[in-house]
Amino acid sequence: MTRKILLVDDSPVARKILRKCIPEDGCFEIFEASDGLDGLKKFEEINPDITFMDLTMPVMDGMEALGEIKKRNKDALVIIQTADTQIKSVFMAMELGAFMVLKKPISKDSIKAVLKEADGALQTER
Amino acid sequence: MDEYYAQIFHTIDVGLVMLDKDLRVQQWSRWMEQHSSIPFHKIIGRPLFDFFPELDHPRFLMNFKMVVKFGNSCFLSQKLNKYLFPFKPAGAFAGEFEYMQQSCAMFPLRDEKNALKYICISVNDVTETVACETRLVEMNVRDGLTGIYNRKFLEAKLTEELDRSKRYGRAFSVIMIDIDHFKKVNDSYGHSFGDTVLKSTASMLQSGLRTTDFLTRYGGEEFCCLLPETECSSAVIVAERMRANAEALALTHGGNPVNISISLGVAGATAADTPSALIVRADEALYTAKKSGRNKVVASQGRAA
Amino acid sequence: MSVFSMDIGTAQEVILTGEEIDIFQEVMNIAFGQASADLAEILDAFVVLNVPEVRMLDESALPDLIREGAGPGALSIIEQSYWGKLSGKTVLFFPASAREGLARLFGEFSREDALACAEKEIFLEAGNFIAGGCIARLANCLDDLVTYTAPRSAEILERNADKKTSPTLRRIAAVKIPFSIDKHGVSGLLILTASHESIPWLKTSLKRFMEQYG
Repeated sequence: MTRKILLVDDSPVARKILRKCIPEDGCFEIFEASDGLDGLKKFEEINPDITFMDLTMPVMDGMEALGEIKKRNKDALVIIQTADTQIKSVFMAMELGAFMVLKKPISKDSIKAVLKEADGALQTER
Repeated sequence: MDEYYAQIFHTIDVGLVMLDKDLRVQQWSRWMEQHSSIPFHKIIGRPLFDFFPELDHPRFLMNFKMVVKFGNSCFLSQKLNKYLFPFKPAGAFAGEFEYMQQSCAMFPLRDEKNALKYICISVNDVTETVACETRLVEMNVRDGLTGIYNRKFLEAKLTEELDRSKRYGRAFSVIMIDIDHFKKVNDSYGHSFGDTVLKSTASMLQSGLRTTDFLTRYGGEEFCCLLPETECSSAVIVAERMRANAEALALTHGGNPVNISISLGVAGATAADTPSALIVRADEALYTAKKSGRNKVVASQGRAA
Repeated sequence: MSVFSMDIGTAQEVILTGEEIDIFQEVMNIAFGQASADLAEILDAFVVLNVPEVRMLDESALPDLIREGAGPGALSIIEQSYWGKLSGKTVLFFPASAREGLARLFGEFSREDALACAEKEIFLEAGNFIAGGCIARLANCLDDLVTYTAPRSAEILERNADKKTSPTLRRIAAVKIPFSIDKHGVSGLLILTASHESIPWLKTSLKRFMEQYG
């Protein structure tokens, strides 16, 4: 079964890196958005299984977008990606219902592990 | 090469200490031995804080963490810290300081794999520099004759104190002081005696002040006194005491008593005051005191709060 | 002497391309994110470092960029140079209003200590922490190790200097990073530059950064 993944990051490079880290085994269909507002729009359009969300973005930041997504679908699986792992931000993201906070820089291994964990959560949900 | 490095380490006129990440002493240079009187063999492998408990404070730890976490160098300037290690000062200026003034740096030392291994602290004795600098600064802000602050200092200090009082909504007053008939004193007894009068008046005025007050020589026979955290009404009491003390000054010239008096103008700062406006109001009050017979204290009736 | 300063003809080749700038931007995003998390822990405060755009500019345009960063009002300006394979300098601006917050942040000072010259020292020490932290993490992300000069208080540049400096053909990368430390009400601006000499290394290093993802 193909899972839909939405990547929300204002940096094209960050999206490219993430794309490269997601296994190309046909299990994932990838969509991209370049800021929080665009991310929210795409989220409504495609209803992704997993959303990767950057925190600092123009127009609408990741924290706000996370809140909005959760308002629309409280079960949405959103993974926050950030290098800034200050307690205050991490706590806020978890409070808003993030599935996890993933520390940048990412690697193929860390993304593989995260996707496995997300998959597990999606299975039990169904 | 290592043996040469060790010689440099122990010979250089800078104190060097190497610590591990748990703040245990791993190296202790001869300079440190000499100034601390703690021999190498006693301190090696021991926690630094066992010997210098005063270093166990947030500032030191913050800098230490900075070095460990970021691998950054930190600079602990003498101006902010005075010293890191409480050593006795040595040399010609030793008498002026309780402790040796130090400029220190803290930096990482890495192993061949670039992993942070030790933290090095260097200690420079800057006591002499600080002593000279202090003198230079003093010379620049003091009046040569009376030893009290000069006008240049007043101008800087006045702005600073007025800003502070506005920022925190605190009282602030100034007193302008003028020696009555000073020209006559100079003409009758000579300039040398005039200088004596100035010096005596300055030291009399200074003796009644708190350490937070600033007495400055404004010009000729005029003085200006800054009183932070002081309401105008309290400043009037201070001024009145100054006036009485001047009257009581027992000056003599050729065995004969010479009486002097001073006139004073007081102004309390208001939110609307600029530094010059405040001085002008005190000066105007002083002028009124002079006009109405001298040897008097007059408070500015301006917009004083 | 650098090869590049000898040969003006190669000046074109040492500019970061659009794609490289994007990578550099993401590397900084990661580096400054880590720096703010680490600084937050050390300073026990919430630290925000924003990552704005990277610009390539001629070295002669740097004073203008700094003047632009200074803006109106009294400021403390702190300069530091750093060098590893990546080298350049950092210029940090604190508005005068940041002094109180920094004094609280860096420990208690008596009023006497807060006199003019010690105030400058507070800015220097804080500047060293912020600029040094950013550079350390950036170097770290690019597999480099850098050393620093001690922070120096820079001369306030003449705001309206209209002296035209002629282009040097030495291209540098510059980035402006506004920052804030929340509970102490401290905010300021950091300008970070990568020298002309280090641009070729930076290009290789950015390429390597992307290559790790295959």
